[in-house]
Amino acid sequence: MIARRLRSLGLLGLNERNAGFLGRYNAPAQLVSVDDKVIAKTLATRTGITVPRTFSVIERFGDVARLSELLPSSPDFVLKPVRGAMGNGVLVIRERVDNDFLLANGRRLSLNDLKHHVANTLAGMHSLGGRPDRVLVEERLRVHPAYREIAVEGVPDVRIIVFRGVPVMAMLRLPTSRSAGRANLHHGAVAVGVDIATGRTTRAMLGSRPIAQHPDTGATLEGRLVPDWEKLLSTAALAGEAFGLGYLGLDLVHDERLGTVFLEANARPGLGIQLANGAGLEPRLRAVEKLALEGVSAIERAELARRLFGRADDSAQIASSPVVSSSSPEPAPISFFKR
Amino acid sequence: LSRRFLLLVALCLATSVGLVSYKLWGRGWLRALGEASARWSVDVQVHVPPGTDSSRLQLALADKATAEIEDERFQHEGWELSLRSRREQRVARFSPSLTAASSARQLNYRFSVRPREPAVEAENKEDLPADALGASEEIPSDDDAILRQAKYLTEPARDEESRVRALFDFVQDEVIASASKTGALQALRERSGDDAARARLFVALTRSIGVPSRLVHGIPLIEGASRPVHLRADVFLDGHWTAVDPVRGRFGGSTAGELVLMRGDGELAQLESGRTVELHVSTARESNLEGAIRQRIRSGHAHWTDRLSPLAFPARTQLVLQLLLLLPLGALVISIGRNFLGLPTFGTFAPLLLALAFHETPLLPSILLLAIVLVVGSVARLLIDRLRLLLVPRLSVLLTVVVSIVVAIDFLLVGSNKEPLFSMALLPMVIFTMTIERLSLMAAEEGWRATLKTLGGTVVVTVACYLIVRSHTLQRTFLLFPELNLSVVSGLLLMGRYTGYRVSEWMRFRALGEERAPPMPGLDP
Repeated sequence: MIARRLRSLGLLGLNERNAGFLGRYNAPAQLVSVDDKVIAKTLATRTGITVPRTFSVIERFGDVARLSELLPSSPDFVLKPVRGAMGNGVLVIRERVDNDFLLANGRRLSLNDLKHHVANTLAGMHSLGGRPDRVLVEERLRVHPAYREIAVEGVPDVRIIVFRGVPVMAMLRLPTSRSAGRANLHHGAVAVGVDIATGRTTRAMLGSRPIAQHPDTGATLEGRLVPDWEKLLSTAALAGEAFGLGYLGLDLVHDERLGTVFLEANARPGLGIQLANGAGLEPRLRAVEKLALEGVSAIERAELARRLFGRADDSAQIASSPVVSSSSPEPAPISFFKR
Repeated sequence: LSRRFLLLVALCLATSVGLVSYKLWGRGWLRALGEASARWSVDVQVHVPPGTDSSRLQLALADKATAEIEDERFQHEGWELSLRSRREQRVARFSPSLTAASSARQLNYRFSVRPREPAVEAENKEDLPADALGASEEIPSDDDAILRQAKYLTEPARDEESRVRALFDFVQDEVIASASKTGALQALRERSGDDAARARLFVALTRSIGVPSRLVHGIPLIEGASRPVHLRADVFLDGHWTAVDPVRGRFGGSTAGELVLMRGDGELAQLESGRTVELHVSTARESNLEGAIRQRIRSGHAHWTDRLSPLAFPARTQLVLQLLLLLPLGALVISIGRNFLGLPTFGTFAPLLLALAFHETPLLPSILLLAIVLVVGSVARLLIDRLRLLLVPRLSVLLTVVVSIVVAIDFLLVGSNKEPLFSMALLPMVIFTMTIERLSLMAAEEGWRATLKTLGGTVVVTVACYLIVRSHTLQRTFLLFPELNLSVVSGLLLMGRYTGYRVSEWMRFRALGEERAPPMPGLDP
């Protein structure tokens, strides 16, 4: 019963995502290009996308002892496991007080606490599969004024699912006090659906429960405009071809000074985005699967996404789209389009 | 699903079902399975603790008067079988071999038995052996305290049977069962004692009033893992022996289904130095089918289908094989839990390993032990975390804590003289440790709700695996028909291509499903 109902909504399940998309469009050998945040940043920069400045990468245990020398002179910065997942092990340092470090969520850590955290991260406590890791020290992003009243303790980001270089669904992730400033849904961040055509927020979910207001600030969440939406969407389309992976979840941030910034990419993005948008991913992915995308630029792909997946449109438009070949070829697995 | 894939699935399934059917009907296994066998295989395990120097060991052999004993075998590493005397009570004597003198030694005595209907034959009181009334150190029927107590208890009774009943009631109701090893006298003084002391006290009391009685060492013939031998008494009433068991509260009645290992005052197994040794017995019903297959393999007339079942291996290897052959089925349960139900677990195969570790322990103690280890371990991890250790040394300290918890629990159980609750060798300490680590990390990063959910998922999948590996029926089925694992493989193949929703996703996206049907793919609320 309920399965048929979800099927009719085009809801994508984990099994289908893994077998139908990750397994076919994301080559295992390419995963390192997003799983390793240092490589991901390099690849993104190469495509001309802005990334947060890297202060240093801590690689050796020997560096833990002289950690204070490796930390940037700026009062605020972020420590990230290079191969971390789901925001685990990320420390956002807001300012320094005496010799201590004040986190974005208000916790206070000593230099020794920080060293312990770095040592644990190097040993693989936060990395995928528990493998030894490195620690990325990078610039802390500042909340864009447009988000002031709906972001708490951290920086909101826009998660966009990009399939074969075409953005298919987007959501705004808002940190809450419960998520301790992190923008990850399973940590308790709010998910807000975003209309691909206009960048306007549609509805919001906290966990699997719809909400109208931000749980901390009480600000209305529907009908807001994500700033600079066109730029954001084309950045997503551009980043979608930077890593050689067909199915990606991209996290983009509006920074007060830098504008649209690439934060990281995820090769196994979660499915909560469907709840936030009240729509299933599958029909959109199937539609993109049929497109012939060779030689189509990032700008054109972003434009295509706005026409195909915007609220006002429906799937009938796919047929009239100029870039769709009449006889849809079998989708080329793995190498999702040639450049 | 491609045709070739389905063909592969069908091929696996057909091979497996075909082989099973051929064995069942073509080779007549079904008929043999249906024939209930009256035979039991018995394994007596004698464990001699280390440091018992060069004492010789004497072991009483099963009583041939009440049962048909066949195929008696000894496995005596570190021992030399020196003498088997054949008198009224058959005994085997072992001397320790010089090479293994100082270490702990294990000795197994195995046989196949078919119990006979116990004959109720009248005997003359005068013909009874003298020790049925005699006093000894273990049965102090001439002790003043015993005599006084028996006299006091039996004074109001008129006939012999009610006198014996008075003694029976006394031992059953007023001498409390306890774990401490005591003798009959001490049990009388303290009004408590272990099973053996209570049985001996009862025998001493009956003898002191002039009623012949004797100790009976036996074990009920039911499917069962290692357990200690049970002590009861035979009392000579009205010209024949009546079974009286003050420990289990039984007076008279049939002794069918009981295997008698020894009648008499002594110990079943005893070292020359006088020390008693630990003795456990496991029993299992023999099947005509397994027996016949083994017979065919042994005599060299095995059909090729006989050789498919690993029945010719020694019993110990077979016990391991029984579990190994069930692992694919457990793995299928794991993938169903993951890909169909969507249950989150700590570690992919950890539930199966936990289930294996607990397969000899009843369900509730297993869950209790797991809970103790996880709770104490998590608290320990919080404390260890304060030490700011590097990851691997910290995990190692945690591992040490886990080992200590398990050993401590074992000590407590051994101290209270209970049987060991779990197979120590199989306990996956590393799995415990990693589960505690993952649990603590998850609680710190994602909060208690997500952690408890994952813990719940782990417990559900573990219990499902546990029920599988613990099932004697499944163990036997897969041992007789290992080809069933091809069916399991076809199930795994199908599971591997399942792209439908997980049950957890119904829950997660239910809010979406309950909304009115929106147009696709874009929608307007």
